Amino acid sequence: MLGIPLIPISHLTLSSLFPVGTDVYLRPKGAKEAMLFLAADQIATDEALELLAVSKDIKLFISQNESQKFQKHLRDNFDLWFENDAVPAKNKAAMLSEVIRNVLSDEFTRNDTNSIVDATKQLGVHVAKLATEKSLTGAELCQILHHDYGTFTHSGNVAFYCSLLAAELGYVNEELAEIATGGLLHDLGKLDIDERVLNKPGKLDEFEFRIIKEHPLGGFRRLTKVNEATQVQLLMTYQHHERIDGKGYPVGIGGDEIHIASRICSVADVFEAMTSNRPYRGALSHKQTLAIMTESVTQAFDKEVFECWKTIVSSRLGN
Amino acid sequence: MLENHRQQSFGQLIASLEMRIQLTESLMELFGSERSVARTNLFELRASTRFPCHGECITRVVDVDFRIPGQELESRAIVQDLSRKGVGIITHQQWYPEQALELQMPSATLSTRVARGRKLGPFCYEVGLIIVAHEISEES
Repeated sequence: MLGIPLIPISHLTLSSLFPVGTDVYLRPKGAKEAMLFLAADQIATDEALELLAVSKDIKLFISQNESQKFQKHLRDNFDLWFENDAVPAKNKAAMLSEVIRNVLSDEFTRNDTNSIVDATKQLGVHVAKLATEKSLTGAELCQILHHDYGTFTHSGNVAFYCSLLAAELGYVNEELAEIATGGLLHDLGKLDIDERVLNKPGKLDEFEFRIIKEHPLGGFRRLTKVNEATQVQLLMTYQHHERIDGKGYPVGIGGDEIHIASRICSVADVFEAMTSNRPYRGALSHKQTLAIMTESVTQAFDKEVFECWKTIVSSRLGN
Repeated sequence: MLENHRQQSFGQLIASLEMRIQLTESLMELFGSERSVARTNLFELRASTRFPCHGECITRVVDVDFRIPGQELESRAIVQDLSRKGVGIITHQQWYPEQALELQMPSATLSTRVARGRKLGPFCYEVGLIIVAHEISEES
């Protein structure tokens, strides 16, 4: 072994345009040891990238100690990469997913709501653009997204799902970007909740559940102080746990009283949570998740929005 | 005399506003019954004891935030309870956290901020407000 802790990266985050800035290691399936694949200043060749794309048996890693450096590289080169038409949409999505995790992690740690809104606004534009990108299939997108259910991963995935759903419902351009940004921000209030409660492996007790239920309120409070935050983003944050039958929280409003963007977010949020690995259970399949959600559709979700999501999952995301 | 004048103007003002709250059955029962002081408990986030009351007030939006939907600038509400730091009202419309409201009562005017709101039924919302500042009529 190399003796350094490694973390996996997607081959889609490599480019033949510029070096990664950190050493990249490779480990074929069955091999005990990883070997150096690219030095920090080397650029991957197109042939090597093609080989990685077709081979499912090769995994790539970077040193855990260089994770920050790798993320910085992605952020610094993101615009260059994203605007380059030669880069496939699948690679752009993979890079965006990584950047979202990294930006949200950084910004949420810094805990400056103004800065969070500013950063997510830019990312929302990119998410919306990719969601309407015809060359990116839903199944590809699902493969790219992480499913480990950290708050940052969750928010990034919800933003992608909200955009897919909103685009299918007819929203375009700025509105779509606004909804995508709302998806990134919807759990902002979790910043005020102790991580021991958020990541508790077992069932929450009544007191802990009350604390969790405060997060839409906390997020809304934070966002009202930021002039840049729009009505859509404020309401997605405040209302994404409201239910169509009026039995949700924090207010208990129902039906059309819930903003359409919040009804979209509600479906995306539940679907994402159920299809991700949680500390106390594994991820459910798309099919299982839709079956469970269908049982409570008339109570919990906007029927039209949910039916639209079912169509997207069945036809584009797969089971 | 000033207090009488104040009460009279308040009465005229409140009469000019439509009462649009639809009280739920449980609220009607509550207001019709003798209520005791609501003490804080483990799950309550309130720091002070709430004293029940049943009176009317006028709510006024202080700073309009155009991102928040459907705000009536002036409306009629029922005061449900009062504590050292807060006031609970029943309104016909939803108020959102952090909204600044002025509450005009017969003998006091409170500057408040919305802490939380809960829908109890159609045109019936329970709203918790934090008192930011108050002005009490000297004769009251």
